[in-house]
Amino acid sequence: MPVSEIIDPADSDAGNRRRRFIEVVGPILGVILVVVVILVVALHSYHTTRKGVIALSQDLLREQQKHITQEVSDYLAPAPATATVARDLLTDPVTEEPPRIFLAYGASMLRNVSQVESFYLADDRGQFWFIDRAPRDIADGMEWVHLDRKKDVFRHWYYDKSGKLVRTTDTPAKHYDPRQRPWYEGAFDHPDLNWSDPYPTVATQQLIVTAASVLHTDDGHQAVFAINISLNRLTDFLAAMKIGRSGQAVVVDQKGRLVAGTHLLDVAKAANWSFDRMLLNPKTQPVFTRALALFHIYGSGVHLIKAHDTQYVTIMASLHHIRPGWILMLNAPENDFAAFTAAAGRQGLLFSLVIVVLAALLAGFLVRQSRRSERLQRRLDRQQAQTRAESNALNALAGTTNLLDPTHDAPLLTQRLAELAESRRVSLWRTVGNDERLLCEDAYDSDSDTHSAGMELSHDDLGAFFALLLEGDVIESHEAGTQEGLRTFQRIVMTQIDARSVYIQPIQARGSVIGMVVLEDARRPHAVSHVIAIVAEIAAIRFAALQGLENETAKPQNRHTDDRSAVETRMNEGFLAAPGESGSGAFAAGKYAMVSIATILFEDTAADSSVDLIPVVQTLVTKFQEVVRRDHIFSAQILGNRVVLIGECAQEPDIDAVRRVADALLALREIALITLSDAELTPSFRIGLDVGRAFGAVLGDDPGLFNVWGEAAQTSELLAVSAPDSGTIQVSETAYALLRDYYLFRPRGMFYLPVLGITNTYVLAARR
Amino acid sequence: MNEDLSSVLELRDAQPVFEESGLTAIAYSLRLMPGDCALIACRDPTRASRFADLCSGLIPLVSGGISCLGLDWMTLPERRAWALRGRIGRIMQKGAWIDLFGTDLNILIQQLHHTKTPTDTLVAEAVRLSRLFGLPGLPTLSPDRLSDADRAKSACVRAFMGEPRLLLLEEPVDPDTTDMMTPFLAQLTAARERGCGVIWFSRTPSIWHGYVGEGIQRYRLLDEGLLPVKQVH
Repeated sequence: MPVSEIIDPADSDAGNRRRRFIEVVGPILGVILVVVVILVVALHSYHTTRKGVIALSQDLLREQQKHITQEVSDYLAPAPATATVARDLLTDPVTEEPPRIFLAYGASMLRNVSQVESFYLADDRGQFWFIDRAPRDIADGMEWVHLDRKKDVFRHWYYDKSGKLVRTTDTPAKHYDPRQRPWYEGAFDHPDLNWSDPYPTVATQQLIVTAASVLHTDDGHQAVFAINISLNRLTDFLAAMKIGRSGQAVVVDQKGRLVAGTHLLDVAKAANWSFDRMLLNPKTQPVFTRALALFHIYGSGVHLIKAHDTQYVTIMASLHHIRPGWILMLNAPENDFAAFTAAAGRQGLLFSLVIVVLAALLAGFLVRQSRRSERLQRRLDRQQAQTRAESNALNALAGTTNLLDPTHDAPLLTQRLAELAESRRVSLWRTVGNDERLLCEDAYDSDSDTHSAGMELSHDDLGAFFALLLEGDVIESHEAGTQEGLRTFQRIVMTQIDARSVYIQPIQARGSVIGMVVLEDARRPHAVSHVIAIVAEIAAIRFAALQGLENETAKPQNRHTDDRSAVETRMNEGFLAAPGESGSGAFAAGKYAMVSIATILFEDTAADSSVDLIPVVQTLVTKFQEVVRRDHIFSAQILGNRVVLIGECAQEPDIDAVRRVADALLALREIALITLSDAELTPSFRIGLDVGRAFGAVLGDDPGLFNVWGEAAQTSELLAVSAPDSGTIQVSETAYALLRDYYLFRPRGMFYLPVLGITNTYVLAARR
Repeated sequence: MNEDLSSVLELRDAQPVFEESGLTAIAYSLRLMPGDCALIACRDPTRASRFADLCSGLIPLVSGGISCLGLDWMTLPERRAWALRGRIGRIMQKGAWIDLFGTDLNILIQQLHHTKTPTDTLVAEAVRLSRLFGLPGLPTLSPDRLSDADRAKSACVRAFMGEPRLLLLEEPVDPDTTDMMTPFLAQLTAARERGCGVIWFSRTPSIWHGYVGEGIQRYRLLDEGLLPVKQVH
């Protein structure tokens, strides 16, 4: 089971990850912190400045308000002053005769006070005198008007600048009676001074307000003196006032009717010159409308009002002491005063952001530089580790005793090479039997950390591959399954570990290829090609020596007959139940000391495969039968997913029988490998061989069933189950002792086996 | 066989603090190479447990040093030390079972904690080992409801999970439960073949009768220290 630990205790780099994390995240956090601080400082600065500016603008507006209040007061001041003076001066009775004092006083006032439009004088008997400025054709002239009640006309006298009468005209009075006019009647409500509501004069398009006071003439009658003041001039004055850049000022009465100020004429025209309808328009003048509402609630004061997404500073003040009920209102957008702070803030922010961007760039460079240094350091470390690993590997190889002695195993060769080349499997193969076969001497699977050996490849099946190999050049392919010459090799060998790429270094001795080093799925074969070459050289020496040894070793005297026809294969008892022959004496039931039993165990890995298994198995079994017949196996049984071969049931060691089984196993293995590979099936089977005690008998009757059971059968199965790799033949120590002169073996190691205890097992590789 | 040249466990004159261990404060030395098996006879189960703790780096030292897989317990940072303990399979005398959980979780918890191996893979491995040790499958009852024999088998499954690099086995098999001996020895041998170092504590040394071979060392753990026993075949 592959183990993937969360923390690798051997990885001393684990502690550095936090440092690396800090190296990367630290500068970024720093930049973010700087940005946040700058934003907070800029925001705080903006708010503080804005608050100060608003306070300042409020002070400014207050001063403006005082100034405007004073101006309005001065504008309307002639009315009360004139009324007071008039009460003292105009004591003469109002008659048909021109009232000289009134006219002189009025003329003087009209000449000197521009906002005064005209003066009225009327008594309780209906006498009415009126003075105003003469029409434009008489420059700086005066116009006297008297109501002649008898003729029901207004008599007009026009005087020029020097007081000379220019002309007189009469206009119909239309039964005009001054005593019925609002200014006359209102004067008696407030005898000292009564202000009328503003009223328009359509002819002159002016809004006039009249202040009237009651007089007592010497003849005991009551008269009313009235002064008319034009509000248009007040409007012009208010319009001329500069409040911020776009501030406005208006005077309204308590009901919100516009007395003077911006848009007066527009409002008056919209209201058809009806004062009662000259109200503030909430749509066009929302700020003043809300300000008036606030005034009604809070009275005079300064307020911030938001309208049309703009903050306005507004100030409201009562003009009660000048004209009861009138309210002065001023507003100005906050931006008129605070805009520069926002602009300054934005500018400051922009500069800060430029600094932040620069800082971020620097931080980025810092991180990049740090990462590069880290990468370089890692690369250096890797190269050093690589060099160390190569040195260690070479040292280990050099330090291995009997490295060149083929009678001693050298698993280090494949293992170290797999580590250095980061290969999933490394195997050493040598040619046997006149370059007809390739025998795997050692294969190291780094995934499972296991060695295996014994696989054999025949020239008959791999002609193209053998031809390619014997050329003596390095063979390399990233997709061996698609390359001509390697396809069959890939199917037979590489599919065992699902390898795709392969790197093959031929092993040469005296100019001819005697084997190969195969690296499957190697990540860096080129980086260690020199080590591969060294391993190939070492393997060449070992293989050459092995070949020499094999040649020198005289084949053992054929003490035993090779005539195998003497033994009859008991096919019917293995594959098919047959009538027992124990009665005929052909086979005696009993306990046999030396029974050679081999078990071939097929693993059912093709359950989900789309391949039709029956024909494949049929072919396989047919070929098995041929081999079994050829090698005269005593009995061959097929049971489920296993095939059991029995060489001989004997009391004494029968080497011939064991050899027949071993020969048959080698042939069967080759057949199974090729047949299954051709059928696109993973050749997944294991073989075990043991020679030992077992019971044998034909059991039952009609038909009797030949059966063998006991220690050897169990051990054989266990050896098959625990065979190191797919397609390998694992044999017991006893079988090894009998066969070692005729076959090549590789010790697999020490194992605990039931009943036997700790024992050695071997992998049967090939015939000598 | 793993060809790693560094030792799996090495005690270099390691002198434990007596107050914290209960072990005699003398220098202990032991060197366990990959695949080696130390059979330690100890009549006092507490002493054996303390010695196993010492090997696991859980007991402070007065002097000397203990390294596991080439890493010194004393100098190893805490996180890496705990991760290293994840590579140790241990069977404890006192069981060390958490009865609040099922035996299955008790078995899997070490690998779940220390590795990123998918749970399905871990369960498959646990089932395989359970069958090998003679259990019909992965036991799911809480440990206190299992029979002694099944609990002992479960302890073996837990110890062998995750291909440990060092096995500290305190009385793993009872002489009475001989049916467990075969799979236990088979797994032990397989683990040793993988390169795992083994320390097997037992009160009854006769249980090792017949278990001989290369790489097997025998000791006696007494108050006097760890004394090698002459190999008798």
